[in-house]
Amino acid sequence: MKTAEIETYIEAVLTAAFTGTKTKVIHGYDPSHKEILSIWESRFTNDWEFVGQDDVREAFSIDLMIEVIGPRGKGYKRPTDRAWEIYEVLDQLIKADPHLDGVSFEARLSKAARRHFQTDQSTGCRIQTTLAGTARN
Amino acid sequence: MSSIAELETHLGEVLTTEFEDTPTTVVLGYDESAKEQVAIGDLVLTSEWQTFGPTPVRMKVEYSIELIIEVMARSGKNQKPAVQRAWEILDLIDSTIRATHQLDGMSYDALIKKGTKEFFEGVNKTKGCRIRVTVEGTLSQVATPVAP
Repeated sequence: MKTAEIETYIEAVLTAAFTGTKTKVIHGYDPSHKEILSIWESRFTNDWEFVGQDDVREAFSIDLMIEVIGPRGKGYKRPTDRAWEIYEVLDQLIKADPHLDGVSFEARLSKAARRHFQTDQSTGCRIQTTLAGTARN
Repeated sequence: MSSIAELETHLGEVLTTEFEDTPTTVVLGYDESAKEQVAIGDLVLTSEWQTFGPTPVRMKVEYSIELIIEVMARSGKNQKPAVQRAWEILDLIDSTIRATHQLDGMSYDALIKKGTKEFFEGVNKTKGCRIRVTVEGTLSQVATPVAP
């Protein structure tokens, strides 16, 4: 599935971009980090074509989640500002038209939602965004 | 047994053979205790009939069947290994089912049409990665050669 290859590629691009910062690029969820950029859920739809050999055009969307946690009682501003900074870096990287060997794809951040949350010890900001596009061989 | 039931059984057998000697179990329904599974889920079909004389004959069945791949994570944190394994299993299923298969007097094809990857919490709060895919295909009568 091309979506799997794109997930792996996006992870490598993001990991390289955020090396040396507090932001950890992960799959799933890890509350032990203060700043995460998570490659979250994904969806794909295949349009099969049979011209010569099997070919497929795959429409995909990958949800990405940015979460920044700060200490409780210090307000939402710092986590919120930092989460948007990470979002900006992500947006710029995606706009730069990344290219994956053997699979051509185009993708854009298509929507985003920002939420605040609070736990016993922390105050956080979470931005969920969706990377949507199409890929083919 | 109806041809669609045979197809479901056959698909289960093909996948079971493919995942023999791996930790992946192939189950009909769902196994809550499995560490790695391919569950054969819901099936939907539509039939096309033709009438020859007084007898209606089912010529073609279009079907879709849900396959659910689940891999439990070893730790509850970064789930990259579980995600990678789930995608690997899906690739193996894709190559296994893509060819047209033969059943008694019938042939069928199967293609992965769409899917979703998600994370979930299993029993004892263990975390896992789940990929749900819809396999679509057609089950058709194989033309019988007419004797000269």
